[in-house]
Amino acid sequence: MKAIFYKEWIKTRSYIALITVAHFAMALYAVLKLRYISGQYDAVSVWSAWIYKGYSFYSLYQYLPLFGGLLLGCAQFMPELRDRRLRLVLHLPIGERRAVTMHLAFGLATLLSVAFPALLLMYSAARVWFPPEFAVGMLLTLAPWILSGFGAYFFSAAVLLEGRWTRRILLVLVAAGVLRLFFQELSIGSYERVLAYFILWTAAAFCLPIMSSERFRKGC
Amino acid sequence: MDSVIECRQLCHSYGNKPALKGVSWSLRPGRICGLLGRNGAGKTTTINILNSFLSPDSGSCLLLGEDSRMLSPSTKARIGYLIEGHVQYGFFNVSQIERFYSSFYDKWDASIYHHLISRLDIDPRQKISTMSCGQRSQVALGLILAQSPDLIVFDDYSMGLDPGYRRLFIDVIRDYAANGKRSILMTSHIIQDLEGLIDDCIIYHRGEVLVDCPAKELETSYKSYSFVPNGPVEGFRGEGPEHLRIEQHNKRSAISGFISSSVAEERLLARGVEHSNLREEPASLEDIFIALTGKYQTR
Repeated sequence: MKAIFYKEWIKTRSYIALITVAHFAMALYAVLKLRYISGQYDAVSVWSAWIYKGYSFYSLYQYLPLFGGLLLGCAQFMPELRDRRLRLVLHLPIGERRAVTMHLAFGLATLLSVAFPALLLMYSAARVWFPPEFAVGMLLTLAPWILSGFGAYFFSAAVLLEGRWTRRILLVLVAAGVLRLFFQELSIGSYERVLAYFILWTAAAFCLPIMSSERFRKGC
Repeated sequence: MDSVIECRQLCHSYGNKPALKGVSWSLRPGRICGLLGRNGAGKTTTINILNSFLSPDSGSCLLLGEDSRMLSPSTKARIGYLIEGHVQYGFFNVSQIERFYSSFYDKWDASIYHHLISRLDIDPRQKISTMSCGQRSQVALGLILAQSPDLIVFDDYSMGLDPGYRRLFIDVIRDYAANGKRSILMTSHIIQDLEGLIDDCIIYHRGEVLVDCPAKELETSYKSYSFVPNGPVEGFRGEGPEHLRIEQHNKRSAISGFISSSVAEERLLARGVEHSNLREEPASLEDIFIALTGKYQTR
């Protein structure tokens, strides 16, 4: 596992740096905005704008995890496809499924380690100026966006590892259709009741690149 | 174990186009085998099946006694595989890639790798993607040999290499296999390089095994004779065990096959070819290959 993580780190570190900087810049922007709002407006106005008017103070962060997941998926798996380099990994003396799972585990760990500090920063800042209900509500609103990043990552990996263009197109259509649902609403609590399904869907998407890699290996 | 590789009745098609038509052959331990064939003869399809990157339509392959479709990690550790074009990870430098691969192999011998790398004029921090094809070939070869594998598959090792690096590659393989314990399967289009290196020779033609015998036997029993025809000569390609070929050339035409000079005379007369001055011509492995598979790709 350590060796696969080492390879993936060498391969993607510049992209990971880019994604990390983008996350922190956005998180910092959200913090500054929250600070500005808390200083400019009274609590009733903020609460009213947030609860009743569906105004989001951190919408700039919305698509960042999605693009981060997409970028990491491409950075990890595009080099594996050039000259069908994935054969090198599949020939390693570890199980093929295990080898691909380790690659995905690296991506998952990277996205988590990038998103978690950014979320922590935003949550901590929100707790300074706002009540816990606001901070928790903010996290619940951000959760589908974070999950979309994982989904985009798994789907980009699956699309790239897929051998046939028909299956690739099908996967892109499914990914676009489902991921669109993650961005339908901005207002607080919109996704609370379906969040569990989003988590299940994202967890299920983990299997797609593994299935694609098995088809790659069998040449079908 | 009788064979390190055993292909049994391999069949595979790409759509309606058959690539392999019931191919069977085996590689015995400690032997170096050249798998030869024209473009599209089925070599790469076979290599892909051997390395479990393709499931055959029917038939099977055993590698070190295991089905190639379900190789265990311990068996994979005993098989070195050079991908066509010396494909490796370009984002690594020579130290990083050694660190990566060494953790997977219990029998890793870093000295073999470092010995090969020390011959190259490269900065240890230089990325593999910035190296020449010849340098990359040595890195890829070093990584495979350091695994101390029992079986090595070299898929078109000569691709993109200049004569110097081709010779270097062959010399390294020859030294590595000198103890007679390593089995090697190699494909290449530069057949003259394989002369004197390979023990066995398998020649594919249109998805079938045309010849499967020791290389020495092929070189001594396949004969080529030239003759002066008294009239026009009609080209002929026989399908039988003699692999008889008759070709018309400008001044002297040729007859070749697993035949003696007296049989050559008989075959020419049987086909009504009036001729004189039949004489044996020296034939290299490449000459034999061309005579067997033809100069033109005919379907």
